[in-house]
Amino acid sequence: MVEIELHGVSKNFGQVVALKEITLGIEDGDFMVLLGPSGCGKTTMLNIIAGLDQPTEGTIFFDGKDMADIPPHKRSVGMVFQNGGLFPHLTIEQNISYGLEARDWGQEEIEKRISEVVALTRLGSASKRYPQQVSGGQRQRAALARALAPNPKILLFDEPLSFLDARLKDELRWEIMDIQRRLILTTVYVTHDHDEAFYLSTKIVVMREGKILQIGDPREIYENPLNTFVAWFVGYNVLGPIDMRADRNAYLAVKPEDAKISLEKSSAQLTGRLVSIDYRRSSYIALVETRYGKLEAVIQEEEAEELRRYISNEVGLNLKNSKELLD
Amino acid sequence: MARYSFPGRRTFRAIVIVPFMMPSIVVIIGFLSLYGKDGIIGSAFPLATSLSSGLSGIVAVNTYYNAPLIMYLVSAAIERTDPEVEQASKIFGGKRSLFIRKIIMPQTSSGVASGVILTFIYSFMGFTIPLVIGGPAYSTVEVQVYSLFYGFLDFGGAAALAAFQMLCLSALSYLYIRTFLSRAERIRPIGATRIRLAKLDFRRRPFESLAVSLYLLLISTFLFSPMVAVAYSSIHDNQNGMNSLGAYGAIFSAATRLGFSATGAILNSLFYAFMTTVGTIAVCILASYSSRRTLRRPFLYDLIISLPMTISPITIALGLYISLEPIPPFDMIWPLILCSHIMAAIPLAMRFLTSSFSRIPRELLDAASTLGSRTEGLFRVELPLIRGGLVSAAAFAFSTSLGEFAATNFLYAGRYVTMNTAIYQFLRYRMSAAASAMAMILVGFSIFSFLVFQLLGEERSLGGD
Repeated sequence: MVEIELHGVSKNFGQVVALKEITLGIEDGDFMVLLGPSGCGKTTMLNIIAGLDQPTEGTIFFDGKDMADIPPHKRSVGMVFQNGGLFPHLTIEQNISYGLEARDWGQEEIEKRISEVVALTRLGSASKRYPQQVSGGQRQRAALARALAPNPKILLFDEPLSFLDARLKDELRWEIMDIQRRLILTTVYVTHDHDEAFYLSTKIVVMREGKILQIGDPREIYENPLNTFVAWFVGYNVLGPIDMRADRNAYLAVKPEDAKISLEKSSAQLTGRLVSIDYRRSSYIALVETRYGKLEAVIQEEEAEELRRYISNEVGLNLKNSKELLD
Repeated sequence: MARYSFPGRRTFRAIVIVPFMMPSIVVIIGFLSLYGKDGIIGSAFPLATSLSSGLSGIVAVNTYYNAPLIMYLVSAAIERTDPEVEQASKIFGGKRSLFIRKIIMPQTSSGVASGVILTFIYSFMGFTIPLVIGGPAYSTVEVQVYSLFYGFLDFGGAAALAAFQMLCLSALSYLYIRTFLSRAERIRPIGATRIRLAKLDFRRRPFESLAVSLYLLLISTFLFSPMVAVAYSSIHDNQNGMNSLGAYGAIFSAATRLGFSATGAILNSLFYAFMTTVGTIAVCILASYSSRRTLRRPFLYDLIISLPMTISPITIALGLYISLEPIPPFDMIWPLILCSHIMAAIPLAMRFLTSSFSRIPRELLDAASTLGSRTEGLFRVELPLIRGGLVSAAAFAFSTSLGEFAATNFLYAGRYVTMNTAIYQFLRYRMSAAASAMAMILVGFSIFSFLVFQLLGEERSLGGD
């Protein structure tokens, strides 16, 4: 178990600034998700923690120890990559064994450890095959098994589920969480999928353009987004600009489940044209075009039936828990 | 042609590269025995003898040599065009001519341009071809340096001329690096890299089928007639018109008369080829490995890959020779020759290795470094993954050394005879049967390295991405 600290970490690739003076603490046993759109610097940050990239400026500490001169394989990290990163010329067992042989484990210990992690990740007989011969889900399990084998103190994930189909994603997501909780490993997980972030994390870091916009537990992030980008990225309707505050635009942010459509326009906070009503599994989504932009509202089945007649007409909107946020 | 599939396509594409891997002296003998005064065609059609002497001869042999290179570069570029791009163009209702003009041509132009510049460079610094078939009137800078040095013992003049040539070549290779390395990288396709080939069915496309067949026939004749001619003249005795294997036996007596051992020449050639392969691979792995991780290609890398293009074999030999002034002791000569062979082999070998290294997904390298040390990763992950490129590079280094003549001839001082210098000696003393026979043995080894290259290596990387 390890505490990770980043102090004023910046990274430039030539002219491009990938990370800008990041300071961040990751506590022992945290499951921290770095969330943001592609190009926001989250993968760079993960690579710097792993030691695969060196920061242009700043320092990384593991349990207070400066990691500057420590190569990746001596940092006690296990990493799972987007495509798994399995060596195609080795079987899955040989892949798992690679990190153990590199650490000079004895043959017996290696075999014992392989069967442990194969059982832990439920690989079964797939472990005898080559990476190309197994399914995408098995490949990610194998990558996890390989990362766990040398008993790392930190687990790093770089969008490991992004190439899997939806059901498999759910299943593996659950297993990753289960394993992390059982082994109590400090974990950093990179994704651009906010569902995944809320499901897995104990802490979320929202990033954009190399900077951290907000850090908090999932509930904090969803209930109290600090600015319009965070609100928009985690699923809010962002309307506006509605006002100016000290040279900055102010916007109105509201969750889709907190926007209520009302037929009494005069008493409503806002009006807009009802564009469409669409079925979304357990509920319906109504799309309303207001003068501040489009807004989605979650409605129930009975409401949907009634509102259908008003498509293309003006309706009223009442916004619960709406927040005024700046850019 | 790169866009059609037909029986034997792969084989044809593979053997197109054969002449490129043939020692130039062998090709010259092929041309001489085909189009020479006593040659198979030359004796029947006197007009054809222009293909084996003088300016036209030099152009003919250089064309023969470089045509496969350009064919390879262009067809590799055509095949790299993204099939989705073609589909998209079809959906937009693009006409075929538009597709070729707007899509195919821009994507292949850098391939063509780099082929043209490379051909120019190779011909510009040609030595063997102008020396043997050009005669004094058509000598290149390279030949001049050689004859200033050995003919007139004008060391200063030779060095100055070599420096001048280096300047010209630097300019050319700068151009080459600009067109090839930079452009080819920028227009790399995003999606899949193999086009779907149109099946060439005679009933459905009679015209194209005929055109392609005719083209194949012509190209094959053009490419293989010199080789066949060498084989023929090695067993055919011009004096009595009989066919026999006598010339192969005569190699030994002919060599003895010229003061060297034929077996020695063969063994020397193989020794150099083997050592060159080892040395080149070692240098190239170090160089391409160290330059791999950086985002921008370091200057050193460009320098190493272009150095042997800028410095001709004779210049290398001259430099090596002068560096051991006054006269290199005899036991220093073979390492010098080896050095010159390795320098000649580096550019292509380097191309194979860097393109293989760069094809390893970054994920795998990262995975290897989180799991174990860099050396561990190099030997257990990277080298196994680039095995194909490694074999290709080795085969090319081997055949480069087998075919190297210019620098060897400059340095060997009559002592470390290789098959190439032996053939040249036979030619000088008009022992054409022995020359042909020795050339055939050389062809045998070249074909061996070609087979290794094709069967175990990565055929698609010459054009290099």
